[in-house]
Amino acid sequence: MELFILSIIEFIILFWAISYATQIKMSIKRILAFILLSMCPSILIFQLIGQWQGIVFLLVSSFTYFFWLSRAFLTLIHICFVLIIGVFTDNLTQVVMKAFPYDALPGMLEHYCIFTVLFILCIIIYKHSTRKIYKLLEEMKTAYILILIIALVTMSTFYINLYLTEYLSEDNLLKFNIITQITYFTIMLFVLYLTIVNIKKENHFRRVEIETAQFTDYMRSLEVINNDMQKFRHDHANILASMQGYIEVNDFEGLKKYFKKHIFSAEEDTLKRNMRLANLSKLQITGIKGLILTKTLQAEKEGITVNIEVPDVIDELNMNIIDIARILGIFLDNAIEANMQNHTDKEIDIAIFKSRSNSIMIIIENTIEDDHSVKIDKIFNDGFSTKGENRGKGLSTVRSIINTYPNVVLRTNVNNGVFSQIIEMAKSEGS
Amino acid sequence: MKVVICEDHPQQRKLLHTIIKNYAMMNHPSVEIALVASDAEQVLSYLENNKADCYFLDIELGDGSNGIQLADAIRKNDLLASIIFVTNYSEALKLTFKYKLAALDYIIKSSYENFSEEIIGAFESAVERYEKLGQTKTTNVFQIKMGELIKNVPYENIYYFETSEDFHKIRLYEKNGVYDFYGKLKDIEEIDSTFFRCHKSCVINLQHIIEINKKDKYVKLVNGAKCTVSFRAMRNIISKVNESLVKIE
Repeated sequence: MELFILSIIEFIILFWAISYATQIKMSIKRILAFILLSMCPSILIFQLIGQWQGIVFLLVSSFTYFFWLSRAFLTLIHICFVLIIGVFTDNLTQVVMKAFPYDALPGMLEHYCIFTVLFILCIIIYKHSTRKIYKLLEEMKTAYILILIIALVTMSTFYINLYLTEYLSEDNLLKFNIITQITYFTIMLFVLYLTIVNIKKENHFRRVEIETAQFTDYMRSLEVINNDMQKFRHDHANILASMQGYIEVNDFEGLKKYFKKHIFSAEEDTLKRNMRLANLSKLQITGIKGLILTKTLQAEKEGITVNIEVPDVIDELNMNIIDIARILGIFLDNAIEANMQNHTDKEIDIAIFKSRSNSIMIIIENTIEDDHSVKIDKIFNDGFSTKGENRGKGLSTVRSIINTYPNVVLRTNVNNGVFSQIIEMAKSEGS
Repeated sequence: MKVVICEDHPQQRKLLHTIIKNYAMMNHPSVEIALVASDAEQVLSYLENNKADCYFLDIELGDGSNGIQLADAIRKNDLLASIIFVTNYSEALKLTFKYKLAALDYIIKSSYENFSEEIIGAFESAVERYEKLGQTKTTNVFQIKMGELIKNVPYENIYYFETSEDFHKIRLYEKNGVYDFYGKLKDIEEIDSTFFRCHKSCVINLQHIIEINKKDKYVKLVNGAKCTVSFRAMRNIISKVNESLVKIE
């Protein structure tokens, strides 16, 4: 009779814990259904057939029932953890009881009181500490599956160890323990392997995604330039036709004026655009090329003059392309933003070349209104900015990227209205 | 001071030569125009046995050679000479001149009105630089190489040096910039008595201390930066600063 009441208490606590952790709304109908379908049969099996058969039935039926209620993977994970916490608190209770040998209540009752308190506490802690983690994993199905495998295997091992071992002799117990331990270890290694494969795959996807985005940017800039060329070619025919007119009537004064006014200016614009492409032709890293071209077009829209110099062929950088693209993106955005505050000189100069020691130099300079507007020794601090949140944030990112490369150094400098960022990439890793 | 001029266009060569010659005669009689060349070959063969201090180079030298390659060849043997480029606008490679070739200046031909003024200005700074090189060796400056450009940072502008996490990189914080370079802090504390190793990863300039906090073990510098001070250094640091100027807590 006592055992029966205690089992009931245990069920109630367990039921509460599961519904609390999974946050499934519980109506009387649902509770009754659970008692009828899961609790009663398992108690019967527990009493009539055997301990562990009862537990297996309880596990399977409650898993099925709660999964059927919520139809979410997460529910299964929660149930596993609730059960793991159950085993854990049970052990903890015994430790606590040994530590406080006061017999305020009779043995069993004391055990259950302490167990209940500890269990409720642990469940609440579990719920609160994992809430953020599960939110983070929201979209990642593979992560759920991995966690579920870990939780299931751990839980099964715990329970097998607890209940099944009672049926074994000491000799068999040893063998049994070895088998469970090895199995557990192997499964965990397998899960670890899956995790690593998964991380690798995701990194690869991210990389491809960024590269594609850069390539698209590059294509778009080419398109803009191409359109300009088309337009120019169209104008060209008209211009030649009107020149013909001047020549026919021998109006050389008029031709001169016309030439200066229309051809010179038009030509200059196109030449400038072609120059930019020509200047970048020696830079053979498409992603970076696209980034620079895109940012250049963006800057020119703001009325900023951009000069690009690539005097040497650059086909390899001793840095991850994504990292260098992030750094250049931040620098160029800053340069554009700084120039937008200028009123007179709006200029950005970009240079990439090989130094005599064969390291690659990337230099970005922009004009600033006043040397004192930039607090040079503070701009890299987290969140610091002379204007706007993004600038400082970006630069601290740059710092932390560069810190991971032993072969890359950064110099930042303000001098006579020019702000310079100079990256030097040594050929080999290490200085 | 020896000057070399290299320009393929005869008229422009003559113009350049005349401007420099006349100006030097009046203002710097010791200047000698050692060579007026029309192509890179002449300059290179001159360099086999001679050395000049100042070069005026046209960038587009015709017949395939170019002033940038010529400058590169000059720099291989001579890091101190002043190189001044004369160029058409479209080819102005400002940053390349400055950082790759450490050129002193460049002058754009199309600005004819100011051409001679600009030539004279560049020439004047070359002369000034030449004289400075002759005088006392660069004493109170810390030199940082950025590409081929050597940046001189006066000691009094330096706030502090700090090692970055790893890799023997040192970061220098000064009034106008922040620079990474490779080196050891141990060598830096020995350069000058104004530098003081206050912590295993930091060397500060004693001139810039405005506050010493004994309780929390840091010093505050004039730019607001705080540097941690080790227990041992704390005892030394107080004896090294001017107590009337520094707040000690």
